[in-house]
Amino acid sequence: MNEKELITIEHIEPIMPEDTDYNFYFGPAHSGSGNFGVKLRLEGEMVKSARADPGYLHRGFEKLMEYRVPMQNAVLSDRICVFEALNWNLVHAEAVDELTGVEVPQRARYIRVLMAELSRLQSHLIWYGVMSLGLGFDTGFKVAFGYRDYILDLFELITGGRVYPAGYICPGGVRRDLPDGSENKIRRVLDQIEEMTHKMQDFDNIAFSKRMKGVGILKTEDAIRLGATGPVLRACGVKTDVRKDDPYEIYNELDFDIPVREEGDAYARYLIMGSEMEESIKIIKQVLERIPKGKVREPAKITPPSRVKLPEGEVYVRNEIARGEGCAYMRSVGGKEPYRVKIRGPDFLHMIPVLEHLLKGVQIADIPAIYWSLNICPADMDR
Amino acid sequence: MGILNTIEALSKMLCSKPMTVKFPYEAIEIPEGYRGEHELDIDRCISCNLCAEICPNRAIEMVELPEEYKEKYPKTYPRIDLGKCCFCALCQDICPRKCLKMTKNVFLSTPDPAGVVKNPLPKEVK
Repeated sequence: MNEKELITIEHIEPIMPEDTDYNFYFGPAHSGSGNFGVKLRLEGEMVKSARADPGYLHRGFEKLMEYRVPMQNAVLSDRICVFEALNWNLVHAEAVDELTGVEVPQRARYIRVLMAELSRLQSHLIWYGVMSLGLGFDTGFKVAFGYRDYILDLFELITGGRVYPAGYICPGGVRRDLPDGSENKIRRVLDQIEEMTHKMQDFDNIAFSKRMKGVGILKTEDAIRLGATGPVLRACGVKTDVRKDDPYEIYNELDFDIPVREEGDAYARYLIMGSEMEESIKIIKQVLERIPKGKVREPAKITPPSRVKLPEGEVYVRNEIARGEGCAYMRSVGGKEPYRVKIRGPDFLHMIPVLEHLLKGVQIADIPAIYWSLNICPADMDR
Repeated sequence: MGILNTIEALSKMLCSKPMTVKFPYEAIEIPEGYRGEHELDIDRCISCNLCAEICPNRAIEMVELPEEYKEKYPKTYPRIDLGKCCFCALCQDICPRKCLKMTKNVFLSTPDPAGVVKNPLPKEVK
Protein backbone atom coordinates (compact mmCIF):
# COMPACT_ATOMS: atom_id res chain seq x y z
CA MET A 1 0.00 0.00 0.00
CA ASN A 2 1.55 3.32 -0.97
CA GLU A 3 1.26 6.68 0.74
CA LYS A 4 -1.41 8.01 -1.53
CA GLU A 5 -3.74 5.17 -0.80
CA LEU A 6 -3.19 5.54 2.93
CA ILE A 7 -4.22 9.19 2.77
CA THR A 8 -7.40 8.42 0.91
CA ILE A 9 -8.33 5.78 3.45
CA GLU A 10 -7.87 8.24 6.32
CA HIS A 11 -10.17 10.69 4.60
CA ILE A 12 -13.09 8.31 4.37
CA GLU A 13 -15.53 9.01 7.13
CA PRO A 14 -16.92 5.89 8.66
CA ILE A 15 -20.60 6.88 8.62
CA MET A 16 -21.93 3.32 8.73
CA PRO A 17 -20.19 -0.02 8.30
CA GLU A 18 -20.78 -0.99 4.71
CA ASP A 19 -19.37 -4.45 5.05
CA THR A 20 -22.15 -6.51 6.55
CA ASP A 21 -20.67 -9.79 5.35
CA TYR A 22 -19.83 -12.48 7.84
CA ASN A 23 -18.75 -16.09 7.90
CA PHE A 24 -21.17 -18.79 8.87
CA TYR A 25 -20.46 -22.46 9.39
CA PHE A 26 -23.01 -25.13 8.54
CA GLY A 27 -21.54 -28.24 10.15
CA PRO A 28 -19.40 -30.25 10.73
CA ALA A 29 -20.81 -30.59 14.25
CA HIS A 30 -24.30 -29.55 13.23
CA SER A 31 -27.16 -31.88 13.90
CA GLY A 32 -28.49 -31.30 10.41
CA SER A 33 -25.35 -31.79 8.35
CA GLY A 34 -23.72 -35.08 9.26
CA ASN A 35 -19.93 -35.29 9.35
CA PHE A 36 -19.56 -32.58 6.79
CA GLY A 37 -19.28 -28.83 6.84
CA VAL A 38 -19.99 -25.91 4.54
CA LYS A 39 -18.23 -22.60 5.07
CA LEU A 40 -20.61 -19.86 4.02
CA ARG A 41 -20.04 -16.17 3.39
CA LEU A 42 -23.23 -14.35 4.14
CA GLU A 43 -24.51 -10.89 3.40
CA GLY A 44 -27.34 -10.40 5.81
CA GLU A 45 -29.39 -13.52 5.26
CA MET A 46 -28.16 -14.19 1.76
CA VAL A 47 -25.36 -16.62 0.90
CA LYS A 48 -22.66 -14.89 -1.18
CA SER A 49 -20.43 -17.90 -1.55
CA ALA A 50 -20.19 -21.43 -0.19
CA ARG A 51 -17.16 -23.64 0.26
CA ALA A 52 -17.53 -27.33 1.06
CA ASP A 53 -15.37 -28.60 3.92
CA PRO A 54 -15.03 -32.37 3.52
CA GLY A 55 -12.70 -34.91 5.09
CA TYR A 56 -14.21 -35.61 8.51
CA LEU A 57 -15.13 -39.20 7.70
CA HIS A 58 -12.20 -40.40 5.63
CA ARG A 59 -11.40 -44.02 6.45
CA GLY A 60 -9.21 -44.93 3.50
CA PHE A 61 -11.08 -47.91 2.05
CA GLU A 62 -9.17 -47.80 -1.21
CA LYS A 63 -5.89 -48.41 0.63
CA LEU A 64 -7.37 -50.94 3.07
CA MET A 65 -8.67 -53.00 0.17
CA GLU A 66 -5.15 -53.42 -1.17
CA TYR A 67 -4.29 -55.49 1.91
CA ARG A 68 -7.27 -57.82 1.97
CA VAL A 69 -8.62 -60.60 -0.20
CA PRO A 70 -11.92 -59.97 -2.06
CA MET A 71 -14.05 -61.85 0.49
CA GLN A 72 -12.70 -59.64 3.30
CA ASN A 73 -13.16 -56.58 1.10
CA ALA A 74 -16.83 -57.50 0.65
CA VAL A 75 -17.23 -57.00 4.41
CA LEU A 76 -15.35 -53.73 4.17
CA SER A 77 -17.53 -52.47 1.31
CA ASP A 78 -20.53 -52.22 3.69
CA ARG A 79 -18.93 -49.29 5.36
CA ILE A 80 -18.53 -47.12 2.26
CA CYS A 81 -22.05 -45.83 2.81
CA VAL A 82 -23.92 -46.91 5.91
CA PHE A 83 -27.27 -45.97 4.40
CA GLU A 84 -27.01 -48.31 1.45
CA ALA A 85 -24.53 -51.00 2.43
CA LEU A 86 -26.01 -53.66 0.16
CA ASN A 87 -25.76 -51.48 -2.93
CA TRP A 88 -22.05 -50.99 -2.29
CA ASN A 89 -21.70 -54.73 -1.65
CA LEU A 90 -23.09 -55.25 -5.12
CA VAL A 91 -20.70 -52.76 -6.76
CA HIS A 92 -17.71 -54.49 -5.17
CA ALA A 93 -18.96 -58.01 -5.90
CA GLU A 94 -19.60 -57.17 -9.55
CA ALA A 95 -16.10 -55.77 -9.96
CA VAL A 96 -14.54 -58.95 -8.54
CA ASP A 97 -16.85 -61.22 -10.57
CA GLU A 98 -15.91 -59.43 -13.76
CA LEU A 99 -12.24 -59.73 -12.90
CA THR A 100 -12.37 -63.43 -12.07
CA GLY A 101 -14.95 -64.30 -14.73
CA VAL A 102 -17.08 -66.36 -12.34
CA GLU A 103 -20.53 -67.33 -13.60
CA VAL A 104 -22.89 -66.16 -10.84
CA PRO A 105 -25.84 -68.56 -10.29
CA GLN A 106 -29.19 -67.23 -11.54
CA ARG A 107 -30.84 -67.44 -8.12
CA ALA A 108 -28.04 -65.36 -6.63
CA ARG A 109 -28.58 -62.70 -9.32
CA TYR A 110 -32.25 -62.43 -8.35
CA ILE A 111 -31.41 -62.25 -4.64
CA ARG A 112 -28.81 -59.56 -5.37
CA VAL A 113 -31.37 -57.39 -7.17
CA LEU A 114 -33.95 -58.03 -4.46
CA MET A 115 -31.57 -56.91 -1.72
CA ALA A 116 -30.27 -53.94 -3.71
CA GLU A 117 -33.81 -52.67 -4.27
CA LEU A 118 -34.76 -53.18 -0.60
CA SER A 119 -31.64 -51.23 0.26
CA ARG A 120 -32.69 -48.47 -2.14
CA LEU A 121 -36.12 -48.33 -0.48
CA GLN A 122 -34.68 -47.95 3.03
CA SER A 123 -32.18 -45.40 1.76
CA HIS A 124 -34.97 -43.34 0.23
CA LEU A 125 -36.88 -43.55 3.50
CA ILE A 126 -33.83 -42.10 5.26
CA TRP A 127 -33.76 -39.42 2.57
CA TYR A 128 -37.39 -38.57 3.27
CA GLY A 129 -36.74 -38.64 7.01
CA VAL A 130 -33.76 -36.31 7.05
CA MET A 131 -35.35 -34.00 4.51
CA SER A 132 -38.40 -33.67 6.78
CA LEU A 133 -36.09 -33.04 9.72
CA GLY A 134 -34.26 -30.33 7.80
CA LEU A 135 -37.56 -28.62 7.03
CA GLY A 136 -38.79 -28.82 10.60
CA PHE A 137 -41.35 -31.54 9.88
CA ASP A 138 -40.46 -33.90 12.73
CA THR A 139 -43.42 -36.23 12.25
CA GLY A 140 -42.22 -37.13 8.77
CA PHE A 141 -38.80 -38.02 10.15
CA LYS A 142 -40.18 -40.31 12.83
CA VAL A 143 -42.69 -42.02 10.57
CA ALA A 144 -40.11 -42.61 7.80
CA PHE A 145 -37.56 -44.09 10.20
CA GLY A 146 -40.30 -46.24 11.75
CA TYR A 147 -41.15 -47.74 8.36
CA ARG A 148 -37.46 -48.13 7.54
CA ASP A 149 -37.20 -50.43 10.56
CA TYR A 150 -39.54 -52.90 8.89
CA ILE A 151 -36.98 -53.25 6.10
CA LEU A 152 -34.19 -53.54 8.67
CA ASP A 153 -36.11 -56.44 10.24
CA LEU A 154 -35.93 -58.13 6.84
CA PHE A 155 -32.20 -57.49 6.60
CA GLU A 156 -31.79 -58.98 10.07
CA LEU A 157 -33.64 -62.09 8.96
CA ILE A 158 -31.82 -62.51 5.66
CA THR A 159 -28.30 -61.23 6.29
CA GLY A 160 -27.97 -61.63 10.08
CA GLY A 161 -27.47 -57.94 10.81
CA ARG A 162 -29.76 -54.93 10.75
CA VAL A 163 -27.60 -52.22 9.23
CA TYR A 164 -24.39 -53.96 8.17
CA PRO A 165 -24.98 -57.06 6.03
CA ALA A 166 -21.26 -58.01 6.36
CA GLY A 167 -20.71 -58.57 2.67
CA TYR A 168 -23.98 -60.45 2.13
CA ILE A 169 -23.64 -59.79 -1.59
CA CYS A 170 -20.18 -61.28 -2.01
CA PRO A 171 -17.99 -62.25 -4.97
CA GLY A 172 -19.59 -65.26 -6.66
CA GLY A 173 -23.15 -64.74 -5.44
CA VAL A 174 -24.61 -64.17 -1.98
CA ARG A 175 -23.43 -65.54 1.34
CA ARG A 176 -26.55 -67.47 2.25
CA ASP A 177 -29.91 -68.39 0.78
CA LEU A 178 -33.17 -66.68 1.71
CA PRO A 179 -34.55 -68.32 4.88
CA ASP A 180 -37.87 -70.20 4.72
CA GLY A 181 -40.91 -67.97 4.74
CA SER A 182 -38.93 -64.84 3.99
CA GLU A 183 -40.76 -64.24 0.70
CA ASN A 184 -44.07 -63.79 2.48
CA LYS A 185 -42.42 -61.50 4.99
CA ILE A 186 -40.96 -59.39 2.16
CA ARG A 187 -44.43 -59.09 0.59
CA ARG A 188 -45.89 -57.98 3.93
CA VAL A 189 -43.17 -55.34 4.33
CA LEU A 190 -43.77 -54.13 0.77
CA ASP A 191 -47.43 -53.52 1.67
CA GLN A 192 -46.27 -51.48 4.64
CA ILE A 193 -43.87 -49.44 2.50
CA GLU A 194 -46.66 -48.84 0.00
CA GLU A 195 -48.70 -47.52 2.92
CA MET A 196 -45.78 -45.18 3.67
CA THR A 197 -45.70 -43.85 0.09
CA HIS A 198 -49.42 -43.02 0.45
CA LYS A 199 -48.63 -41.27 3.73
CA MET A 200 -45.93 -39.27 2.00
CA GLN A 201 -48.53 -38.02 -0.47
CA ASP A 202 -50.86 -37.13 2.42
CA PHE A 203 -48.09 -35.26 4.23
CA ASP A 204 -47.46 -33.17 1.12
CA ASN A 205 -49.02 -30.06 2.60
CA ILE A 206 -48.45 -26.37 1.88
CA ALA A 207 -45.87 -25.95 4.63
CA PHE A 208 -43.82 -28.80 3.18
CA SER A 209 -44.01 -27.95 -0.50
CA LYS A 210 -43.58 -24.18 -0.14
CA ARG A 211 -40.22 -24.69 1.53
CA MET A 212 -39.01 -26.64 -1.50
CA LYS A 213 -40.81 -25.39 -4.62
CA GLY A 214 -38.53 -23.17 -6.68
CA VAL A 215 -35.67 -23.63 -4.18
CA GLY A 216 -32.25 -24.85 -5.29
CA ILE A 217 -32.97 -24.98 -9.01
CA LEU A 218 -30.32 -26.93 -10.88
CA LYS A 219 -30.34 -26.38 -14.63
CA THR A 220 -29.79 -29.37 -16.90
CA GLU A 221 -26.57 -28.05 -18.41
CA ASP A 222 -25.19 -27.22 -14.94
CA ALA A 223 -26.12 -30.67 -13.66
CA ILE A 224 -24.24 -32.36 -16.49
CA ARG A 225 -21.29 -29.96 -16.26
CA LEU A 226 -20.92 -30.48 -12.50
CA GLY A 227 -21.22 -34.26 -12.72
CA ALA A 228 -24.59 -34.90 -11.07
CA THR A 229 -25.98 -38.41 -11.45
CA GLY A 230 -28.97 -40.42 -10.30
CA PRO A 231 -32.08 -38.79 -8.85
CA VAL A 232 -30.48 -35.33 -8.87
CA LEU A 233 -29.89 -35.52 -12.64
CA ARG A 234 -33.28 -37.12 -13.30
CA ALA A 235 -34.96 -34.21 -11.48
CA CYS A 236 -33.37 -31.87 -14.09
CA GLY A 237 -35.05 -33.58 -17.02
CA VAL A 238 -32.36 -36.05 -18.07
CA LYS A 239 -33.72 -39.56 -18.53
CA THR A 240 -30.79 -41.64 -17.39
CA ASP A 241 -30.45 -44.72 -15.25
CA VAL A 242 -27.60 -47.24 -15.29
CA ARG A 243 -30.13 -50.03 -14.74
CA LYS A 244 -31.56 -49.23 -18.18
CA ASP A 245 -28.59 -47.67 -20.00
CA ASP A 246 -26.02 -50.29 -19.07
CA PRO A 247 -28.02 -53.16 -17.50
CA TYR A 248 -26.31 -55.36 -14.94
CA GLU A 249 -27.53 -58.49 -13.12
CA ILE A 250 -31.11 -59.16 -14.28
CA TYR A 251 -32.37 -55.60 -14.72
CA ASN A 252 -32.81 -56.05 -18.48
CA GLU A 253 -35.46 -58.72 -17.80
CA LEU A 254 -37.49 -56.50 -15.48
CA ASP A 255 -40.18 -54.03 -16.32
CA PHE A 256 -39.88 -50.64 -14.64
CA ASP A 257 -39.91 -46.95 -15.52
CA ILE A 258 -37.43 -44.16 -14.95
CA PRO A 259 -39.18 -41.23 -13.26
CA VAL A 260 -38.09 -37.88 -14.68
CA ARG A 261 -39.04 -34.30 -13.72
CA GLU A 262 -38.29 -31.11 -15.60
CA GLU A 263 -38.25 -28.52 -12.79
CA GLY A 264 -34.83 -29.24 -11.27
CA ASP A 265 -35.73 -27.79 -7.86
CA ALA A 266 -35.72 -29.42 -4.42
CA TYR A 267 -39.39 -30.32 -4.75
CA ALA A 268 -38.75 -32.15 -8.04
CA ARG A 269 -36.03 -34.19 -6.36
CA TYR A 270 -38.44 -35.04 -3.56
CA LEU A 271 -41.08 -36.17 -6.07
CA ILE A 272 -38.50 -38.30 -7.89
CA MET A 273 -37.79 -40.04 -4.60
CA GLY A 274 -41.45 -40.98 -4.13
CA SER A 275 -41.76 -42.28 -7.70
CA GLU A 276 -38.52 -44.27 -7.41
CA MET A 277 -39.82 -45.98 -4.30
CA GLU A 278 -42.90 -47.09 -6.21
CA GLU A 279 -40.69 -48.40 -9.03
CA SER A 280 -38.52 -50.30 -6.56
CA ILE A 281 -41.60 -51.95 -5.06
CA LYS A 282 -42.61 -52.94 -8.61
CA ILE A 283 -39.16 -54.47 -9.24
CA ILE A 284 -39.16 -56.45 -5.98
CA LYS A 285 -42.62 -57.87 -6.74
CA GLN A 286 -41.41 -59.06 -10.16
CA VAL A 287 -38.28 -60.60 -8.63
CA LEU A 288 -40.34 -62.49 -6.04
CA GLU A 289 -42.57 -63.90 -8.78
CA ARG A 290 -39.73 -65.07 -11.00
CA ILE A 291 -36.99 -66.10 -8.56
CA PRO A 292 -35.68 -69.54 -9.59
CA LYS A 293 -34.39 -72.31 -7.34
CA GLY A 294 -30.77 -73.38 -7.21
CA LYS A 295 -27.36 -72.54 -5.86
CA VAL A 296 -26.63 -69.11 -4.41
CA ARG A 297 -22.86 -69.04 -4.61
CA GLU A 298 -20.11 -70.20 -6.93
CA PRO A 299 -17.92 -71.71 -5.42
CA ALA A 300 -20.17 -72.74 -2.53
CA LYS A 301 -17.39 -72.64 0.07
CA ILE A 302 -15.21 -69.69 0.99
CA THR A 303 -11.67 -70.04 -0.36
CA PRO A 304 -9.03 -69.62 2.38
CA PRO A 305 -7.03 -66.39 1.83
CA SER A 306 -3.77 -68.27 1.26
CA ARG A 307 -5.28 -70.04 -1.76
CA VAL A 308 -6.93 -66.99 -3.37
CA LYS A 309 -5.52 -65.83 -6.69
CA LEU A 310 -6.96 -62.95 -8.68
CA PRO A 311 -6.29 -63.09 -12.41
CA GLU A 312 -4.36 -60.23 -13.94
CA GLY A 313 -6.44 -57.43 -15.45
CA GLU A 314 -8.48 -54.32 -14.77
CA VAL A 315 -12.22 -53.68 -14.63
CA TYR A 316 -14.56 -50.77 -14.20
CA VAL A 317 -18.14 -51.37 -13.16
CA ARG A 318 -20.97 -48.94 -12.57
CA ASN A 319 -24.25 -49.43 -10.77
CA GLU A 320 -27.29 -47.31 -10.10
CA ILE A 321 -27.31 -46.96 -6.33
CA ALA A 322 -29.87 -44.93 -4.40
CA ARG A 323 -27.85 -41.70 -4.56
CA GLY A 324 -26.66 -41.89 -8.13
CA GLU A 325 -23.93 -43.70 -9.95
CA GLY A 326 -21.69 -45.89 -7.79
CA CYS A 327 -18.60 -47.16 -9.59
CA ALA A 328 -15.54 -49.18 -8.82
CA TYR A 329 -12.28 -49.57 -10.68
CA MET A 330 -10.22 -52.62 -9.77
CA ARG A 331 -6.81 -53.65 -11.00
CA SER A 332 -5.03 -56.88 -10.27
CA VAL A 333 -1.47 -57.93 -11.06
CA GLY A 334 -2.07 -61.58 -10.27
CA GLY A 335 -1.75 -61.57 -6.48
CA LYS A 336 -4.36 -62.52 -3.91
CA GLU A 337 -5.28 -58.92 -3.14
CA PRO A 338 -6.27 -56.27 -5.70
CA TYR A 339 -3.38 -54.01 -6.66
CA ARG A 340 -5.54 -50.90 -6.76
CA VAL A 341 -9.19 -50.15 -6.03
CA LYS A 342 -10.79 -46.83 -6.85
CA ILE A 343 -14.27 -46.10 -5.63
CA ARG A 344 -16.33 -43.44 -7.32
CA GLY A 345 -19.28 -42.46 -5.17
CA PRO A 346 -22.05 -40.19 -6.41
CA ASP A 347 -21.91 -37.87 -3.42
CA PHE A 348 -18.45 -36.47 -3.97
CA LEU A 349 -19.78 -34.43 -6.87
CA HIS A 350 -23.20 -33.79 -5.31
CA MET A 351 -21.71 -32.47 -2.09
CA ILE A 352 -18.88 -30.36 -3.42
CA PRO A 353 -19.44 -28.75 -6.86
CA VAL A 354 -23.23 -29.14 -7.06
CA LEU A 355 -23.86 -28.00 -3.49
CA GLU A 356 -21.49 -25.03 -3.77
CA HIS A 357 -23.20 -24.02 -7.01
CA LEU A 358 -26.72 -24.32 -5.59
CA LEU A 359 -26.02 -22.46 -2.35
CA LYS A 360 -24.85 -19.28 -4.08
CA GLY A 361 -27.45 -16.53 -3.70
CA VAL A 362 -29.96 -18.43 -1.57
CA GLN A 363 -31.49 -17.44 1.74
CA ILE A 364 -30.03 -18.97 4.89
CA ALA A 365 -33.32 -20.72 5.70
CA ASP A 366 -33.23 -22.59 2.41
CA ILE A 367 -29.88 -24.25 3.11
CA PRO A 368 -31.30 -27.40 4.82
CA ALA A 369 -33.90 -27.85 2.08
CA ILE A 370 -31.23 -27.73 -0.64
CA TYR A 371 -28.66 -29.72 1.32
CA TRP A 372 -30.95 -32.64 2.10
CA SER A 373 -32.76 -32.61 -1.22
CA LEU A 374 -29.47 -33.78 -2.81
CA ASN A 375 -29.70 -37.08 -0.86
CA ILE A 376 -26.21 -36.67 0.50
CA CYS A 377 -24.08 -39.07 2.51
CA PRO A 378 -20.76 -37.81 3.96
CA ALA A 379 -19.55 -41.40 4.41
CA ASP A 380 -19.76 -42.13 0.72
CA MET A 381 -18.08 -38.83 -0.20
CA ASP A 382 -15.06 -39.16 2.10
CA ARG A 383 -14.76 -42.94 1.77
CA MET B 1 -62.47 -30.91 4.98
CA GLY B 2 -59.27 -30.50 6.95
CA ILE B 3 -61.05 -31.25 10.22
CA LEU B 4 -62.69 -34.35 8.73
CA ASN B 5 -59.27 -35.61 7.62
CA THR B 6 -57.91 -35.00 11.08
CA ILE B 7 -60.77 -36.87 12.72
CA GLU B 8 -60.38 -39.75 10.29
CA ALA B 9 -56.62 -39.99 10.85
CA LEU B 10 -57.07 -39.68 14.61
CA SER B 11 -59.66 -42.45 14.83
CA LYS B 12 -57.43 -44.69 12.70
CA MET B 13 -54.34 -44.01 14.75
CA LEU B 14 -56.09 -44.46 18.11
CA CYS B 15 -57.15 -47.97 17.11
CA SER B 16 -53.82 -49.05 15.63
CA LYS B 17 -50.93 -50.58 17.54
CA PRO B 18 -47.77 -48.51 18.15
CA MET B 19 -44.76 -49.14 15.88
CA THR B 20 -42.39 -49.52 18.81
CA VAL B 21 -42.10 -52.05 21.67
CA LYS B 22 -41.39 -51.31 25.32
CA PHE B 23 -37.81 -52.42 25.66
CA PRO B 24 -36.55 -54.02 27.97
CA TYR B 25 -39.94 -55.41 29.07
CA GLU B 26 -40.59 -56.66 25.56
CA ALA B 27 -38.28 -57.00 22.58
CA ILE B 28 -38.43 -57.88 18.90
CA GLU B 29 -37.51 -61.52 18.48
CA ILE B 30 -34.03 -62.05 17.08
CA PRO B 31 -34.16 -64.42 14.08
CA GLU B 32 -32.06 -67.54 13.51
CA GLY B 33 -28.76 -66.85 11.82
CA TYR B 34 -28.15 -63.60 13.66
CA ARG B 35 -24.51 -62.59 13.95
CA GLY B 36 -24.04 -62.16 17.71
CA GLU B 37 -21.49 -63.40 20.26
CA HIS B 38 -19.30 -66.37 19.23
CA GLU B 39 -19.52 -69.83 20.71
CA LEU B 40 -16.68 -72.33 20.38
CA ASP B 41 -17.14 -76.08 20.59
CA ILE B 42 -13.54 -76.81 21.53
CA ASP B 43 -13.92 -80.59 21.33
CA ARG B 44 -14.58 -80.40 17.59
CA CYS B 45 -11.91 -77.81 16.79
CA ILE B 46 -9.05 -79.20 14.66
CA SER B 47 -6.85 -76.13 15.04
CA CYS B 48 -6.79 -75.46 11.29
CA ASN B 49 -6.21 -71.70 11.72
CA LEU B 50 -8.68 -70.80 8.93
CA CYS B 51 -10.80 -68.55 11.18
CA ALA B 52 -7.73 -66.53 12.17
CA GLU B 53 -6.65 -66.35 8.53
CA ILE B 54 -9.99 -65.06 7.13
CA CYS B 55 -10.76 -62.57 9.93
CA PRO B 56 -10.68 -59.14 8.21
CA ASN B 57 -9.95 -57.33 11.49
CA ARG B 58 -7.39 -59.84 12.80
CA ALA B 59 -9.49 -60.30 15.91
CA ILE B 60 -8.75 -64.02 16.18
CA GLU B 61 -5.47 -65.37 17.52
CA MET B 62 -4.63 -69.05 17.93
CA VAL B 63 -3.45 -69.63 21.51
CA GLU B 64 -2.61 -72.52 23.79
CA LEU B 65 -4.79 -73.40 26.73
CA PRO B 66 -3.64 -73.03 30.38
CA GLU B 67 -1.37 -75.79 31.73
CA GLU B 68 -4.11 -77.74 33.51
CA TYR B 69 -6.00 -78.43 30.24
CA LYS B 70 -2.99 -78.89 27.98
CA GLU B 71 -2.99 -82.64 28.24
CA LYS B 72 -6.50 -82.95 26.85
CA TYR B 73 -6.24 -80.02 24.43
CA PRO B 74 -2.64 -79.90 23.19
CA LYS B 75 -3.18 -77.76 20.05
CA THR B 76 -3.85 -74.04 19.63
CA TYR B 77 -7.40 -72.69 19.69
CA PRO B 78 -9.00 -69.40 18.63
CA ARG B 79 -9.03 -66.52 21.11
CA ILE B 80 -11.50 -63.88 19.94
CA ASP B 81 -11.14 -60.21 20.77
CA LEU B 82 -14.71 -58.92 20.56
CA GLY B 83 -13.41 -55.36 20.75
CA LYS B 84 -11.84 -55.81 17.33
CA CYS B 85 -14.54 -58.08 15.88
CA CYS B 86 -16.90 -56.66 13.24
CA PHE B 87 -19.31 -59.61 13.49
CA CYS B 88 -19.08 -60.52 9.82
CA ALA B 89 -19.36 -64.29 10.50
CA LEU B 90 -16.65 -65.18 7.97
CA CYS B 91 -15.02 -67.33 10.70
CA GLN B 92 -18.29 -69.21 11.13
CA ASP B 93 -18.70 -69.75 7.38
CA ILE B 94 -15.14 -70.92 6.75
CA CYS B 95 -14.94 -73.32 9.73
CA PRO B 96 -14.71 -76.84 8.22
CA ARG B 97 -15.99 -78.57 11.39
CA LYS B 98 -18.68 -75.93 12.15
CA CYS B 99 -17.37 -75.64 15.69
CA LEU B 100 -17.23 -71.84 15.75
CA LYS B 101 -20.76 -70.46 15.70
CA MET B 102 -22.37 -67.12 16.27
CA THR B 103 -25.21 -66.96 18.77
CA LYS B 104 -28.11 -64.58 19.20
CA ASN B 105 -26.53 -62.88 22.22
CA VAL B 106 -26.29 -59.17 21.47
CA PHE B 107 -25.79 -57.89 25.01
CA LEU B 108 -22.03 -57.58 24.93
CA SER B 109 -21.20 -54.25 26.53
CA THR B 110 -19.09 -54.60 29.64
CA PRO B 111 -17.22 -52.23 31.98
CA ASP B 112 -14.34 -54.73 32.19
CA PRO B 113 -11.81 -54.35 29.32
CA ALA B 114 -10.57 -57.93 29.80
CA GLY B 115 -14.14 -59.16 29.44
CA VAL B 116 -14.20 -58.48 25.71
CA VAL B 117 -11.54 -61.11 25.04
CA LYS B 118 -13.00 -64.59 24.72
CA ASN B 119 -10.41 -67.20 25.68
CA PRO B 120 -10.85 -70.77 24.44
CA LEU B 121 -11.83 -72.95 27.37
CA PRO B 122 -13.27 -76.45 27.76
CA LYS B 123 -17.05 -76.64 28.01
CA GLU B 124 -17.14 -77.76 31.65
CA VAL B 125 -15.13 -74.67 32.74
CA LYS B 126 -17.59 -72.24 31.18
